[in-house]
Amino acid sequence: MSSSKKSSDGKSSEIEEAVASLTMPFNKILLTSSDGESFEIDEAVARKFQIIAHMIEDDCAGKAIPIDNVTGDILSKIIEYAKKHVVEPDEDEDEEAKKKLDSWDAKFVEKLDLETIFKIILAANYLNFEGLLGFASQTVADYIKDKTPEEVREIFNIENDFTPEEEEAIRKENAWTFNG
Amino acid sequence: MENGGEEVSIDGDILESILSHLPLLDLDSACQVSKSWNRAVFFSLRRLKTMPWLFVYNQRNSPPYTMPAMAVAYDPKSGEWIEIKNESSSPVEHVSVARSSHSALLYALSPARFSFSIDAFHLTWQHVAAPRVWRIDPIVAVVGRNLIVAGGVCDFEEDRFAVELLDVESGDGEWERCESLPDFLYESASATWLSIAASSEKMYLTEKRSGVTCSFDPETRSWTKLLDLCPGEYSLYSRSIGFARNRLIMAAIIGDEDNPTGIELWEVIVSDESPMNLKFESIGSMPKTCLDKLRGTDSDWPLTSIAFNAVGDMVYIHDAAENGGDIVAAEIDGGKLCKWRTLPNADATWINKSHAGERVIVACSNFGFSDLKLAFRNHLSFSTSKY
Repeated sequence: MSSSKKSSDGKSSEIEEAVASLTMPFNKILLTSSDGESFEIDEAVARKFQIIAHMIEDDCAGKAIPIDNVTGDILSKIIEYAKKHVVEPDEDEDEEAKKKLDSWDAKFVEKLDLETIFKIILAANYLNFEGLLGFASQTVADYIKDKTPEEVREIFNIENDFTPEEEEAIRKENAWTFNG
Repeated sequence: MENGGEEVSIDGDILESILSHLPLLDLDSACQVSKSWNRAVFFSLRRLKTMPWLFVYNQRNSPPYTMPAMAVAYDPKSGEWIEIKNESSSPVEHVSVARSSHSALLYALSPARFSFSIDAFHLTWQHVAAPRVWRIDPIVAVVGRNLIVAGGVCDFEEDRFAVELLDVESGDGEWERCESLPDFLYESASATWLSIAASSEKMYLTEKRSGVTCSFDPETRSWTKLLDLCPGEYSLYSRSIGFARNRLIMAAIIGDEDNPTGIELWEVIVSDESPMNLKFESIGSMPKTCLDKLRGTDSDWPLTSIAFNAVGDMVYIHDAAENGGDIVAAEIDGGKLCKWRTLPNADATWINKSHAGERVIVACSNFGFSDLKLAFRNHLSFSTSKY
């Protein structure tokens, strides 16, 4: 990805090496979606997906890894997020960077419809990508927050399968009545 | 999305995971959506890892010492104040001013009676005979099944360092005398000067000013002196301790009363085998913006000591003088403090006190699914507060 610069000064090349080892990959990994789209990404990015990180550890990651459960459009979104989050800024040490990243995250989901976010959640769960799973789940939770049950049903296209009596009972007892 | 072939279905584990990001009150709506959502809420609550709420109670500071059947609590997950009302109960008259010495414990002591409550929402108050030694301002703690009172003894009593213990579960309501407070606490044998922390096995006392510290084991009924809580290079003038999730935590003010320069926190690592061998691990410091807000607009007032609540993965800190000024909160994540914030409109909390002849009591409780069910069965209602 980035070219390493040779420096005459011994000390600063040490620092550059350290920086390079954070950003420069040893390897590139090829992910192929269920519908045949291919994505070449750095190992550091691929490691955000625990399922792949384990394969790399166990040395069974070949050059190309098929991701059978995820379509190309979703996989590309996930990779976009993963690339941005390769290094997570420390909230206390680098407030600026954290704010910038939060702002990027907000813009990232803003453009997505709920259907896509669901697909991202399922894919992030499959790939075991904690960070995105948590973030996407929180995003969906934010949709639900402050909504009435009817509004939630509308948003998620859910059928109300309670009888009127059951509904009344739940409302009265303040819920939590599943199996007592 | 339960109908339509093309549509994505979110259910089971995924739905539970999404719901676990919802603040508690919104789950009410979620469980009325459909049967499978109701089930998902139930299971998501089952594995609920709540962030402990900070509870604020009011009480009249003169007889009949009434506490209204209403409280407000701060939910760190949603960042909101929640109003908790007991629909079926009237104000409770207590025997005296109630206090909280650590975590969820509330107690009120009079010469005749000792009342206390340790459940998360303080639904149940237990009453026992007062300890045999007359006390005004004792150290009170609950350690496992034992209630311990120490010091705070009235002038006319002989043993100023008397310690008494009551086994709450044994049912006979009899206080038992134990080894008295160590005499190195000579100057400060009352709750004013000492800060208390309680684990399920031990009670810890530290003198706020000096850091002189000891622990009490209710099993052996004995005291052990620990190393003074004076970590390295810092000049601490006042400390408070708390026990959160198996960790003894100390919060201390640096500088001096009229010019406090910061509040630092450490985990204090205690070893049973060598009590004089404590290790201090720094877990964070309060950002200056929070410290300024804690002191409030009247930052000419000295900051004498801090009220410290540490439960689960949350810490809450405010000026013990309760003169105004904000409550500061932070989360413990990976052994370090993060997400420092001040509670919204917390200064409204203190105003009640001076105006209506009332005082404010602050406690902190972690609660689980069963506590919540109990709360609902006891007709507690929760709503977002206008705070």
